[in-house]
Order: sequence, then structure tokens, then C-alpha cells
Amino acid sequence: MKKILLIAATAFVSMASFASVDPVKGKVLESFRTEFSEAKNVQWKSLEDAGLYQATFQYRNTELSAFYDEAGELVATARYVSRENLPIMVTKAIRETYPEHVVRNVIEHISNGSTTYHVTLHGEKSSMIVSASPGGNLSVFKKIKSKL
Amino acid sequence: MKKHITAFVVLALTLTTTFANSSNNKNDVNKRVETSFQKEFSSAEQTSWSRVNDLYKAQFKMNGQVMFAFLNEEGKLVGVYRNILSTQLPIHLMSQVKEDFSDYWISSLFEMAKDSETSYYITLENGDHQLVLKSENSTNWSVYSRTKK
Repeated sequence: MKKILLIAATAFVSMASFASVDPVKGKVLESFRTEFSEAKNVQWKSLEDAGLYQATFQYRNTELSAFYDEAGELVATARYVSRENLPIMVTKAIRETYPEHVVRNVIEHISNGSTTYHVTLHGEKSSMIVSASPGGNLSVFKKIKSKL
Repeated sequence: MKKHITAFVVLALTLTTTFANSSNNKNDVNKRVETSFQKEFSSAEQTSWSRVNDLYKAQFKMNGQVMFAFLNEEGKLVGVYRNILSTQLPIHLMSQVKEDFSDYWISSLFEMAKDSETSYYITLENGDHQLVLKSENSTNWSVYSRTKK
């Protein structure tokens, strides 16, 4: 669970800004090349707290982040998507629960075979990041008070 | 209820490519169905109604996207769907289509929602076959039907 939260948080911070690390070798690199043979412009980052490696790269017209553990196991992928990618029930739940907020960013996060959408919502008084299951179950991941 | 869901999937598959025998008279919609729809989709805009077999079909916009909901005569929501592009699929589903079915073209693709379940249906064709794949977990496809042309 801690790793999943860290991956979600990392996805928000690091998909735009990146500090490269030494080229990743061994099982991680082998695994990555097998899974994403069409990857271009690959950049690696080490997430030491979680014991993970993050690769961010161009893949089939999208920028994707893949997270590997030290054994070379793919533990998650994450990418920015447009709000039109949100499933019907997520759109519906957000419109009903946060009618005054506007969707700013959406991250599609897949780990352990399940998909979660992390949605940044902007409102006049507050902004927040909510996590949503494809079926529209929402939970607040982080709240941010707007500056006056 | 299961019969209705199956009928809904078949209707959605059919209606994405062909026109059904439907009427557009709003007066045909009974109050119970309309109230139920408004409760279920309070943010719906530009709603129009038609009748498809024994179900009511509402076409509406939510967040700028066109969607279709089916309700039965008691006003119970049978399901809601929207046509999508392959780029709107979750990444694993999009990748599997590109990798495993590169010699097929996509003739229809829609997302269907019922209660808290979301599924995707894609119809793929080549010169010989029509293939319908279904995904209930947003990560893997399974074969829903295969038809020889």
C-alpha cells in the first residue's frame, strides 16, 4: 500500500521534471526492454525510499512511466490522459460529488492488475487530488487550500 | 435482470453500427422513467428519448460527451454506454489490440457501465472474421464472440 501511494505521488511530481540516474542494468533493464520494446527517449530515476526504478519514455504516442522493483518486476505504469479517458462512472461521480470543481489533470495508474485514476480537481476555494476506481468510487488523496 | 443486461449489450453492439427501429417522441417516456433518469444523471444535458424494444433509451451529454442510457419500464437503469476512440482505452487494452490484432480493423468500440462495473467491448474485423472482445477488468481482453463472414 505504501508503495502504491508513493508511486501515485511520484507520478504527479516527476512525470514533468526529471533527474536522470546512472543507466539501469541487469534484470530491470532486461525486463523493461522485453515489455516496452518500442520505447523511445527513455529516462530512468531511482526511487530509493520505495526500492523502485522509474522509467519515463515515449510509447505509442503517449508518455508513459513504468515502475520496476529491484528484481525487475513491473509493479506499475502511469501516464497522463485527457479527461475524456475517464470512465463514465468516474465522470458521473466527480460531477455529482464536486460540482463546483473543474478537472485539471488525470493520471491513469495501473498496478496489481487494477486501474486507478488520480484526478486533480480545481475549485475556487480548494483544489484536491481524488483517486477513483473505474466504477466511480472516489477517495480524497490530497487536499490543497487555494491561496487568497 | 441478467436477460436485460445481455439484451443491452447486444443492443449497444448493434446500435453502434446500425440504426434501430426507434421513435423520438418524448411524450412516450413515462414519468417514472424520466424521474429515475434525472436522479441518476443529474448533470445530463440535451437529453432525447427513444424506444428500443421494451427499453427506453436516453441520448444525452455529460461533460461534453455523448452517452446513451437504457432504462426499463420500471425506471431501473439497465446500463449506460458511450462510443470511444482506441486512444481512450486504458493503456494495456490499447497495447493488446495493437500487438495481437494488428491485421484487424476496429469497426466499433464502446465503454459500458452498470452499477459500479465498467467494461469495454471492441469489434474487430478482417476479411474473414468478425471478432468481439470484452474487458471487465480494464487490463485484459477476452473473446466475447467470433463470427465467420
